Amino acid sequence: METSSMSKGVFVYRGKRSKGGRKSRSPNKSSPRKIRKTREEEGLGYSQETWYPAYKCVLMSLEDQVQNLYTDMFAQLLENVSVFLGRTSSTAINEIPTAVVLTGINLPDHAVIFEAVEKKLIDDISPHVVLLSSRTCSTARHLFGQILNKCQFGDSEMEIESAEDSDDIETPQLRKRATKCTFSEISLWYKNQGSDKPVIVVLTDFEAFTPSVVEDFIYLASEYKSEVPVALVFGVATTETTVHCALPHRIMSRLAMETFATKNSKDVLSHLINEVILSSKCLFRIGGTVFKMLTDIFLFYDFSIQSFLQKFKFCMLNHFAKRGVFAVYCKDDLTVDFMTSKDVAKSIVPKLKSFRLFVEQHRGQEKLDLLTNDDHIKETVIRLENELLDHFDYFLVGLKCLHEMTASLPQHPLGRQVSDLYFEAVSKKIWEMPEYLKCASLWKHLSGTELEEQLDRILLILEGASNELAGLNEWIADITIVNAKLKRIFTGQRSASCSPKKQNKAAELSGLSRTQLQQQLKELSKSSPVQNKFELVRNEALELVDKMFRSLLRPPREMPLHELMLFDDLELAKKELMGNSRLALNKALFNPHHYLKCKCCEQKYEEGISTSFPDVCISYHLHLEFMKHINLYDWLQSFNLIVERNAEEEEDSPVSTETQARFTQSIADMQFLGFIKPTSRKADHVLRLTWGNNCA
Amino acid sequence: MTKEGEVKSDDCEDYVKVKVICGEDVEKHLFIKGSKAEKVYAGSSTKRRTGFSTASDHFEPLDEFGENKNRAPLTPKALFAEDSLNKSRDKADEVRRGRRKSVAPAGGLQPIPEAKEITLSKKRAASDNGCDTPERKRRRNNSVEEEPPKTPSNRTMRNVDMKTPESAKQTPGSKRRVLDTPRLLRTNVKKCIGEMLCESDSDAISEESESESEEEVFNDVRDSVETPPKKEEAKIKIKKQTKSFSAEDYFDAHVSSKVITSNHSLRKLEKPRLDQDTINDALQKMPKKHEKECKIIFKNLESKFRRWQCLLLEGFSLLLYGLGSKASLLNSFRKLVSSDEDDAIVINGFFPTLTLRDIFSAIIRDTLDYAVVPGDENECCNIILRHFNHSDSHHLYLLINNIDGQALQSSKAQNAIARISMAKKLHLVASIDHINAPLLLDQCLLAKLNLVWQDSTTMLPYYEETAFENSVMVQQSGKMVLSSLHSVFQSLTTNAKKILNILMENQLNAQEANYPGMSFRDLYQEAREQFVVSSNLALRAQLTEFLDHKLVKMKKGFDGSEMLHLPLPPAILKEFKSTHNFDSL
Repeated sequence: METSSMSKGVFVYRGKRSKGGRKSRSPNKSSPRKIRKTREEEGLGYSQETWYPAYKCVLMSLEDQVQNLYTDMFAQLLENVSVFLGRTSSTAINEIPTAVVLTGINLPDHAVIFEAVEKKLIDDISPHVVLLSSRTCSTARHLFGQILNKCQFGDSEMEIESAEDSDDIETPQLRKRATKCTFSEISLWYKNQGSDKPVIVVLTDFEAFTPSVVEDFIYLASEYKSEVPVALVFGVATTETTVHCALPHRIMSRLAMETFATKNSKDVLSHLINEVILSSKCLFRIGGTVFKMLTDIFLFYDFSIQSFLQKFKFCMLNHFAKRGVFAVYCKDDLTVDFMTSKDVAKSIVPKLKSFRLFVEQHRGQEKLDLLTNDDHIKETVIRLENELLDHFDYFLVGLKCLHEMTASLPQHPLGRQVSDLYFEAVSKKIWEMPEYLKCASLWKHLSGTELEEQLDRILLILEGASNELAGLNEWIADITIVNAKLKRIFTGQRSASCSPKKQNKAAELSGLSRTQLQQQLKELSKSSPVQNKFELVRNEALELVDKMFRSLLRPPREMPLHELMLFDDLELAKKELMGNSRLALNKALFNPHHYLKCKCCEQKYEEGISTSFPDVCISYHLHLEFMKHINLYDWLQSFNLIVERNAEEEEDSPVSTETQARFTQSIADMQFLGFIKPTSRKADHVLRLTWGNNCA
Repeated sequence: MTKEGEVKSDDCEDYVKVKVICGEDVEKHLFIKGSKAEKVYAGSSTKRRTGFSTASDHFEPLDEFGENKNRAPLTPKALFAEDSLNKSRDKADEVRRGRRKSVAPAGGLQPIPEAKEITLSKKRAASDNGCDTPERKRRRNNSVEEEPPKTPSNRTMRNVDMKTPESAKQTPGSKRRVLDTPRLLRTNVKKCIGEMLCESDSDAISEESESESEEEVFNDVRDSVETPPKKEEAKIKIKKQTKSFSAEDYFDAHVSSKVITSNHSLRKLEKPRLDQDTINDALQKMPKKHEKECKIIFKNLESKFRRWQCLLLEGFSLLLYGLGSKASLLNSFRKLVSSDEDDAIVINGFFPTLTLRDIFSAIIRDTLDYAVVPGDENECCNIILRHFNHSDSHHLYLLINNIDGQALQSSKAQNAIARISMAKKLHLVASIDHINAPLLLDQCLLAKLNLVWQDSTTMLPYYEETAFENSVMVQQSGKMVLSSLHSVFQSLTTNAKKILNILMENQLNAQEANYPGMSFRDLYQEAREQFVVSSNLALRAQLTEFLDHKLVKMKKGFDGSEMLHLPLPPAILKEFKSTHNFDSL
């Protein structure tokens, strides 16, 4: 093979571009040259697909929204930090102003936060903002070097000399970096450029810095305070105590610290879900199960918004790749609209399962039309797609209303978040679920004020959405009436006293004998308690709300053509986003038939080892029978017996060289895969590194 | 099968006999029994899987703590011993009628686990005779596996005291029931064991009928002993057998005591170890298994290539996992992606001397045409990131075969690769093979890599990947060492060569089997005599070079002096010596 060699491990395959023609490698914007078309324009990968622009458009809109959300969410924090640093760095105090930003453990997201911090600080306070990560600052010297480089040359062109300056255009040179990395050099530079703005140093991952490096830096910075005003920002993932633990008191006393906490990433996610993903603005609709998987990965694994979004993007890409041009995402852009009836009828759309079911529901001429009349099919498809998109918007409004009603219930039978509701409601009739019924029974215990508040909030949600969704007006009218009734009762009830009927009854009971009383009581218990006015209105309200939910929350997954709108391929998402390499490896070793699909290895689970198995599988099966230590000789003998079945009864039959070679190779494979390792405990023994049933 | 069962229960009989003998003598008798068993045991050929009896001992002190409360306070050590003696005490109690003494803590500790082990191994000894067919092995394994069901509760599952299920059965608080005669108990237990062996071995019997027969078996046992949980227990065990892995196995596998294996060694074979060439030749001659199927699998994977490329271009990285060498797969993917415009780099992560710098220099010097590669890794990353983030750049496909390889396992390497993979026009395809490889990837790496996992099981043997690995079964021919020795030797000065020669001569002339090396003083003496060095320091300077190249190894001798030797087998040394004319130096 071309990539196998005993002397090197890296193989470079270059394209046929002429080397001389590649002078424009360094991204130097000043040099005029013909900008080559990017790969995307040339039409590589998915970009040549007809659906790609649609995907790109949906993606861009999503990214924009996320960006806006981020800006909104961090605005307060950035403002606080900037105000603090601006205030303290201008006053002449001895301490170095230090903002400790608690970033949380979702490490992958920190880059975004610090980018925003950097931008804000450059805009508000000083142009000299240096972002440092522990990766580049292993010693104090490196740290100073980084500061100097970034201050002197800026970020973009740190190492590269522009091509015009050097004679040798073909080989880009490394820029000479600052050679003297000391604080006095920094102070010299500061003096030369003659501004009075402070130098702000941001340590993005404070925990990973070597404490002594930070100590030295702070000590020197405070010594040079009169010459170079320095302000610090620490990014701390855990708690503020880390700073106190890492730095001794003599250093801490030189800092004027203030702590700023970013938003909890769980809150950011729920915000993101409510505002972006589960809003009518998001043009991609994700199925309940896949969505649940993504949030589960977030909650139970990394708390990272960035990776959540990446996974979301993966789902989106796969949805578009699978449905192609027919992926439904926006009312104004229905592909079917632009197609001829014939093409529509021939396309995959009428073959979708949900559409076929839809056809089955009809009888007679209508059904015949749906099957044969191309124009009719096209019309129906367009109608259904529009209905689907419309309904989804109503559905989201319904979810929010339901969330209002359920979020405050004890024990949260339907979850705390809107997303919890979404997981279920998108594919099932939520009102048939036992959890919903439990909620409904809990609603019956709501007090008047609570019910009133909730109705008010539902009204608010409905009214907010009614501009675009006309169908909501009906519900608004109904709920307003009931709400008014409720209010009237409250104002009326306060004056009204307890019902006199009850007192009468009590008086009646007092004069009876014991048996009569017993009977009387029995009768009373049988007759349903008389409902007062409030209860009547409450029931009316609850019935109305229930009716509304039933109408709004019709599961989109049960509507025809839902496949075109919802991405619900859990299997693919799970397999490709989570991956289970161990399972795949063990499966292949344990039951090679699963992958090979050959007749010879087909067998039942317990039947043991077949001669036809690949060698490594035989070795694997045999090794399962051993304990911690494995005697190679015995292993080889067992292997020999399997391979040469005819020699079954003869013990210690000689091992042929071929068998030994095969065994050796399979052992090497096992060692490479990490199942065994050599040990010096005993001669010719290996250590088993996994554990598991010794007689599988 | 029944035969084996009988053998087993006979063993039990012996053991019970031992235990019934009165209290103070228990240990002694066990010892006697033990030594007898030892003989049988020594004669047996394949001994395995005795370990787990001692695993149970580990847990006993804690598990049975409640039971010991009402007795005189004992040290944990004593408890340890006492628990294992519980069963014998049950019967001994009757005999002694309250004459019970507290067991000597220290003495009781050792022999008991041993005794258990012996009974087990003895059983095995009876059925074991050298290597046998896998079927028989399995059967044997089953029989060993069978033992737990005889003990009723989870707590005692780990305990391999199959002879006395009743002692463990009792809840800690409950008063012990007076048992029938030991004789009756013995026969009952014997019956149970025999019956259970038959059952679990016959796969044909459905679970229901199994449980029925189970009931029958235990009915008579119940007369004398209370055994309500037994039936369920047995059921659970049988179910467990169809499952391939369970958590309990962990404790079976991680016993503290040594695991007994046979003393066979590869020396019994004609050729204890084959060298790599012989293996390759032999394997080449052999007809390959499943060649057709492997080709189909490979074709199927190749059909996914377009999707892979699309995913890469959308900013995802690919991680290929599954059994089988993925070198050819990656190579075939490389052919697809490396076009006139785009570059591709294939990296063999399994290559033992691969460094991160090699990768960087391949990218920076060979594809970006830089003259110098900066020494700092961060700077390298920055250059790469800047270039490949630029919309004007060409695409680079980085195909890493075995990102879990030795050379790339460090977090530094992983982080650097993850970092450069974030560039827009640098696309990473990596493969993993090691079973624990996913442990390398933490959340930061995963977020940076933005992985899409692809099951790409090829079922091809790892010929290339294992060529470097010093596999246990492959004879170390020393060819690689020899060639490296040659190349280093060529660059040495004459004096250095002479020093090496002195060391080599000394080592070759040594007759001892355990050659300790040449002491530094001797070497200095010798070198002075040959006018190779003039001072102690000069010699040391020369030696540093050898030590750095791992040509020579230094050890501290018995008397504290530095002993030098070449870490090579004599045969290679001789071969090396014959190729170079040292006399002409």
